[in-house]
Amino acid sequence: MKEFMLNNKVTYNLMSFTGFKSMLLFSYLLEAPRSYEEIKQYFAEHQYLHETISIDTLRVYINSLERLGCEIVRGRKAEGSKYKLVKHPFELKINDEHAKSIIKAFKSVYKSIDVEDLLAITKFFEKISGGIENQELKETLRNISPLKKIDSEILKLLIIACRKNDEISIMYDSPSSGIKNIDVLAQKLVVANNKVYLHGISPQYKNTASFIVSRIKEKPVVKLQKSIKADIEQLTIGCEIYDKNINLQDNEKIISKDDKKLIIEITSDNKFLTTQRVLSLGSDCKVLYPQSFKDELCSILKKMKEEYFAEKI
Amino acid sequence: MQKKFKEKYNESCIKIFTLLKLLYEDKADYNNVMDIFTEDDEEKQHVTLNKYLNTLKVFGVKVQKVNNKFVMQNTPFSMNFDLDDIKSINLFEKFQEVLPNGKTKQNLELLLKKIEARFDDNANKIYHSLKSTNNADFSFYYADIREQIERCEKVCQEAFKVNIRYLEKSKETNIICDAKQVIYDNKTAYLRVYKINDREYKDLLISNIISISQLPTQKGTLDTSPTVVYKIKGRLAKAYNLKENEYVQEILADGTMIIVNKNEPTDSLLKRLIRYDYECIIISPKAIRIKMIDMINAALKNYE
Repeated sequence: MKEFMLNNKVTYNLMSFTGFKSMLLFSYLLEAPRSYEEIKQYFAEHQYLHETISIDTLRVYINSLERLGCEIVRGRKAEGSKYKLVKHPFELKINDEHAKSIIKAFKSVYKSIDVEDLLAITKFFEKISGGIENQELKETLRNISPLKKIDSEILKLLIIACRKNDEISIMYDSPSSGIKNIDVLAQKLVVANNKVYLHGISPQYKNTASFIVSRIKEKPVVKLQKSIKADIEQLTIGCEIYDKNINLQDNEKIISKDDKKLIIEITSDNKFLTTQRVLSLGSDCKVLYPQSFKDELCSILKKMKEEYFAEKI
Repeated sequence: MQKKFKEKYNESCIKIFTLLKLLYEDKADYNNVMDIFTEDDEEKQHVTLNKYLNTLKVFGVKVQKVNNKFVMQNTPFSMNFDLDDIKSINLFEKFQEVLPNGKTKQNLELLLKKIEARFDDNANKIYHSLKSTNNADFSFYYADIREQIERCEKVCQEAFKVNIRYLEKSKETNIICDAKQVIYDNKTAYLRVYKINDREYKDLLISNIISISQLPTQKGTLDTSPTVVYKIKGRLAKAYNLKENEYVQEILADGTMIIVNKNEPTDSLLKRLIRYDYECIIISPKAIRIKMIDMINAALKNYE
């Protein structure tokens, strides 16, 4: 010890040995529960200390650590009467305000980051959620990621397939038609509606198809030869928008505007998501073209109206 | 009840760990640190402080004094953070940097500092190498509405009701409300308010707010907003992910789900539910059900 301190230019009487020993004891207990015998041996064999510790001195150290906010319990005799550090003041503790802020930040960024980064954040949240004392916020942080219920092995394979634009075969539990095998030319993974979708081209579907990743039941199988053609027709929808303060999305652009309205064009390869977007705009949006999309939208709205009138409350 | 401590304890142990606690909490200002040694002779207090700083040094803890404050460069008791964790921390740090001043930015910054204080040497190395290569770019987030967001964050902290003038469907509208919180969405932000007269929450797009003036009356303490019950059926019921503020009240034999939603701003809820087309029907309250029917009728009118 003296030699070490000499080398490091710290003289013998200019440090607290008791303080040093209490830090050693604390970090030793932090690793695992220890018996008195183990602690005694650790002190005796320590490269700088080479001194023993009595049971009374150990008790004084334990009392002092408890006074500082540590919770130390002694295990059963049959298990070696080991001292176990249950709680200590250096643990990561996250208060309600801090937890709410990271939840808020996550909600702002999760739609615009890569699924790979989202996967990393999901793991990170699982790790730090242990430090949140408020049970409700702890559960929120643990479950907030749309990847939470997704098999990470399947997801990792889909990430690779999208990156390489592979043709894959997936076992998909379709909400409308049950479990079936589908061939897809994997394009990208997209987060929307608090779910992760695999976008790709499939001969079984007209446009680009979207598959909810949590409903893919098995690891995707990569096909050695590609048979699906990558060229897909983009859907261009022209709309009149009556709310000039509308918050436009990335795939929407203004074609013209006057005092009363905007004319915008939505470009998409996914009819389902485009229909949802137009519906959410309600009466602030009137589809101008193509006629087929306009007709489909009208029949959806009529059916919605019928559903409300069919069911009297 | 406060736990009774056994009588015998060790003063040096108390002192070194109290110093460590201050360093971990980033509260080791010179005066706070010297308070630990008040029972020592005044003349010897500096010597004692050096003695304890040396002890930390021998234990491998590097402490620096910056602007009259002691700061830990590494920690003796760390957590295990891997590459993915550090990537996540880096991403939130980048996002925190572009956030306008306010409670969220301040709290996020403090939390990230707290986490970084628990890095071991390896985590520190990864952190610094990622920091120099991190290309996450949030600089376009909120760039045009930074000042308005800061103003909104401020009124949320104040105790008074506000009168807000804003654009709704291109028309100027006024509401008297309690400003609750700023909601940061993907690239834009909303001010969530509680409309006192209508007893409901509303999210105002911050870029549409023209002015905010404070009223002399205090904010209410209890918000009551309508609980909305709706049902979803078919493929939507099989694929639906419940929101934070929702729970399933009942699942019918055909798989139809009855969902209860609390505290979601009515306008946002209607815009969300109309997207689910005829697979979603609002059951109650009647007023919100009627609002939805009106929305459908108004949309249909565009095509008559």
